[in-house]
Amino acid sequence: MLNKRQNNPAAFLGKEGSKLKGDASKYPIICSTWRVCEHFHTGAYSRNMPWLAELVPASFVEIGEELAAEKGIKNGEMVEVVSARGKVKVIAMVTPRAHVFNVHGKDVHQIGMTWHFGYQGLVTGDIANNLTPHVGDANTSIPEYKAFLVDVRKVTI
Amino acid sequence: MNRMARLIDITRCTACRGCQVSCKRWNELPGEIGPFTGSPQSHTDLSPNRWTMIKFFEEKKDSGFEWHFRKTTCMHCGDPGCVKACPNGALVKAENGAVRRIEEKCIGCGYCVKGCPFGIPKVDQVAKKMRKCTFCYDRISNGLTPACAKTCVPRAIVFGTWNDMAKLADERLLQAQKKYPNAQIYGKDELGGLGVIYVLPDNPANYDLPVHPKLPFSLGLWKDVVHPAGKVLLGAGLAGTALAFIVSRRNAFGQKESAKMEEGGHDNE
Repeated sequence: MLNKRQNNPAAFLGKEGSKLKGDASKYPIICSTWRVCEHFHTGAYSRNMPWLAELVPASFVEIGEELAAEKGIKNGEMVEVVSARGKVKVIAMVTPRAHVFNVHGKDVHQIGMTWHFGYQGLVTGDIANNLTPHVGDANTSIPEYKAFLVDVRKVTI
Repeated sequence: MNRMARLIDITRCTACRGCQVSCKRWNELPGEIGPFTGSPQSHTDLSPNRWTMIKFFEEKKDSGFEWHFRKTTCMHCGDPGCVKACPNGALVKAENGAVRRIEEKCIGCGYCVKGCPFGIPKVDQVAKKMRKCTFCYDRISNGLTPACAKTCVPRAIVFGTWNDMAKLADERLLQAQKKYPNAQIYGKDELGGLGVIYVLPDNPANYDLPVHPKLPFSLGLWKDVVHPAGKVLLGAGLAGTALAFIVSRRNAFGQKESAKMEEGGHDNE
């Protein structure tokens, strides 16, 4: 459109590897990380609290019904979410809540996953920050964890 | 004391599950970390150590997608099936509307489970005790609100006298009907008025509630017909025995008398 530049040239970039950029041909799905109200931040407190840990016992990824049908993923199955920077294994939550975007006439799926999990505590899970780009806002270096490209595959255990 | 009740307005619940945590906190119940259920719902059902929980309902309607959350808990019915079913008098209906369980008397037989149309009581098979929501009897009999109502942020759970809650339900229904044309009240007329009055966005069947909750027929037959009849029959049997005893004694005495008379009158001792 007006400007060919897609990113802020002054953006804060992380170390090698963690700032790698994925390509839409290889990673066609938009991913977002978000919180659940039962867990606090990285879950260091809440994952050690039985009353809270029982409410959200595992890290999960919300996958729309269309995408799940396309990939043959069933509700509650283990899936692998891969980005240019890393991969995590999480449980799929197939839901009609996730929508399909129409970007330049193409259907683009969005998935969303929790990021409160780690390797210690009463409930554990893979670390979502392995997926996210370590890129920050130029002024505040607030990290960009809300939109990045990934791919989802089914794993058999 | 007035009959107390909780109003649970499903159209307001945000599924923060504060009630679930505060219930466990007040009643000192352990956390039960289960497997992932495939939905944000924490567990599939209540358990002896989980007296309340939020059930999630995803509804695809013509008007669009709707997501509703129903707090599942003991209804503290006006005509409680569990109290009727309990063979040991371990369940009693308190004056303030709470269906209470007397720990020492409970033997964990599970008759209350069969007698409850909502599937609320759960039996701890190890301790051999039934456990369910107590309506925070210790709190409400000391002028406090139940733990769940106290913690509820969007005021989806409101505690008060039954009549006040019934009135408030009508007000909330009018509000809910603006957004959900099928909204309805559940619990005002069911089973002698439930101790939980729901404001539902749609038909109760959509939220895992029986549309016309009824106590099992066999329970009514057993407790209302066979038991009183049995008591009457037992009484009649006892009375009959007593009567037979008296009659036979009289007869025996009479015979003795007449035998003495034949011998030649009384001996004056």
